[in-house]
Amino acid sequence: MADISEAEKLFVKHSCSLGVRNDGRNTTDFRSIAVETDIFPHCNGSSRVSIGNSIDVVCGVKVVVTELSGKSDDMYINVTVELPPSASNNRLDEKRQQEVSSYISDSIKSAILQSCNQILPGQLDIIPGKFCWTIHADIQVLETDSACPIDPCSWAAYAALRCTTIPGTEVFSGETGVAEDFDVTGDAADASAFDPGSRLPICITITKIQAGCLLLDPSLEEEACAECTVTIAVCGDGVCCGIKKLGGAGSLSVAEITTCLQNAQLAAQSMFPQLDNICAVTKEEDAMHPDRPPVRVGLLA
Amino acid sequence: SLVVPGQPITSEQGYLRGHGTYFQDIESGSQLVASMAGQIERVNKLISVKPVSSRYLGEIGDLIVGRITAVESKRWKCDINGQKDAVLQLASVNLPGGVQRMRTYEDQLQMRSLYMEHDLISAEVQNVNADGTPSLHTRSLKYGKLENGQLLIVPSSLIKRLAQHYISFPFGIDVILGRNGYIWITRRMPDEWKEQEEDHDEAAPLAETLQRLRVRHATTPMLKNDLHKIARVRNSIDVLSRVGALIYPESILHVYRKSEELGIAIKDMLKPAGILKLTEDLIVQE
Repeated sequence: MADISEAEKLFVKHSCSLGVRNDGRNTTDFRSIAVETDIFPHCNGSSRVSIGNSIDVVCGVKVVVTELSGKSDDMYINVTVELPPSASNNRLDEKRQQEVSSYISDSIKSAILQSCNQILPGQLDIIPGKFCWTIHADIQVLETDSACPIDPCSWAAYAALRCTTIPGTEVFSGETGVAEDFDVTGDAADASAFDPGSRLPICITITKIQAGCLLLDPSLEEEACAECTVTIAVCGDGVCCGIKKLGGAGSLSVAEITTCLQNAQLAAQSMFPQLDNICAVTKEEDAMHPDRPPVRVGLLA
Repeated sequence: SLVVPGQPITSEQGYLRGHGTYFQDIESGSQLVASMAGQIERVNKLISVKPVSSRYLGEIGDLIVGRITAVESKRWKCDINGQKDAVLQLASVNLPGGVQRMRTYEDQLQMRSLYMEHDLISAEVQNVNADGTPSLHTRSLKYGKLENGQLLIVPSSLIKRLAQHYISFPFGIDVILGRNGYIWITRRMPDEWKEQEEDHDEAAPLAETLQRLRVRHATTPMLKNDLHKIARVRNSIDVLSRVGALIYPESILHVYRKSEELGIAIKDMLKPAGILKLTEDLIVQE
């Protein structure tokens, strides 16, 4: 959390109460968001999300063969978030950075498992009960002005997962006819897209400045004035699949929670089509020019 | 003119080597070569290379906006977006009411009543110590705590030394361009207030009057109209910093007026399309 003067906090609270934010946005407006997918050719899926001039997050997805040994669905997906001290101006100590990283990764992982646990076996099992693909989604925060950038991390994970391809496999049955072994085919044409349908969630965080001021995408100053923040995971079909309140000594009334849920659903509904589109557009553009390497704005912009 | 490291600047003799350059021996003698990427600065016989972007280095006489990070025994530490925190001595600030006296122990104990941690102040660089730590002072009635406004941070290389760093725009917004890249945006104090103060007590010392005006400015909430203008100015400056243009009153005014002419909503100024439209015909002074 950035530390700003009491005078600045008064200014932010007063302008929020009049519905004017520091850069003229409404309470439900995001800053300009740029998303790119397929930026790391060696990953099964990857993405980059940048918000305004201040937040930059990349995500790389790798699928790895795992031997199931009777464990729970936790084997299917693993999310790690790295939030290094160099990413922000906040002088948080290392322990706090670790806490924030684990908070973000746990939230995203549990949101995905919550809503996708029915679908994952179908998509990721190689030999049911014996071998499966484990998705490792590694999110790296390159730059942030937020103390806990869970929204861009979840969008990066979503976009990367949407364009993740799983290598094809050939299953061999033993003498008894039961599938025992398999081979991973190296042919790119055999790879299938990971398709969790409309159940893959994204997170939207609502920040409460004061009663009646519920903001999306807070700026540095707004976050410093926050009474409390609440993160809501919303699926593609509009269903809220998780809600978590992070930090802040403030409280939310029942009516405010309802407003938060509604705002989050509306925001998510406008984001999903655009996030889904990016993957398709990227593939189209690559297909149009098969003879030249893919052009990405990527990390050098 | 821009140079890159390793680029020869001149082979003529007689030049002095400034920062960012070094002599390299060649067959016909020695040549001056750049060791930094940046612009060549020439003062008579002294040639130096000013890097394109670096942390703010305090120069004496610079007006800066800083954030207090620590309150120590007889001084404050202040973050000015530089390599080191600047130092603001208790002896270098104005006491409330404009009183001129030696600082006592009581003053030392009451430092927080002047400036607390995280407060924003405007000050001037008085001195740069041998280790590079700038010393600040607020020994003028126009410097001091900044309240009821907005801070914007831009790269410090975009703000050159100007005649005036306290800018008053015609549409009622005041901007302080700190040379360290911290910019303070607030509404202008209405002229009626100054007249009212003068009517109120003609004999009062200027320091007291300004103190009262300052308190009035800090405690009077802004109108929605003012907030919109502040947001538009903030976005105009942000647009300039995004394209790497120098920030000075005329360029800010250019972007502001253009955004009004084209009818771009304040929040749309920072979208890529908005930035393009606003900076298409921007002519930046050298």
